[in-house]
Amino acid sequence: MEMGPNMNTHDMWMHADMNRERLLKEIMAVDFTIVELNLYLDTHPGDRNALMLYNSNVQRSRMLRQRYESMYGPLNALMSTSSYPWQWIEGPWPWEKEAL
Amino acid sequence: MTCNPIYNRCMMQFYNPAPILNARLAHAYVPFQYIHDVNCIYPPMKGLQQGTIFPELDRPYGADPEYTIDA
Repeated sequence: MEMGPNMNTHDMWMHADMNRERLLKEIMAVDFTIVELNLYLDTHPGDRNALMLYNSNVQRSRMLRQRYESMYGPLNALMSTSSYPWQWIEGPWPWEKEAL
Repeated sequence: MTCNPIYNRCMMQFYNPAPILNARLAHAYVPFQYIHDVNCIYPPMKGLQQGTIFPELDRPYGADPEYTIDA
């Protein structure tokens, strides 16, 4: 894909969509790490290093979610605020996306 | 050396150094997991890909012939 001033609208849209997908996947990966450490800490509540790693991943997830929602809208219908009009019904839904 | 996981420092955590003493017959024992080095934990993207963030638990089906039927 050609970047810069000669980029056409479709390519720019594709580029934005790729960044959106990349950010979403990063959030999924960080959240998976959080679940793993959650399970570990349930049986190892006194592991200080694991707890520090857990806390830093939770902070990173919050930061990434905030960044995603400010650019692309709500990640969650219940716990996200929305600008007007109600953004949750905006596409694309997962089944409406082209394979990347 | 790097291709054999046994020589990998992080993979060594798979081997529990403490033997189970006075093991009783007909009891099952599971070694207690412990993170010896937090730096061994996979970064998030690698963890998502492997299905675990713990290298000592990263044993894809088929990698160990002892636990493989048809791979």
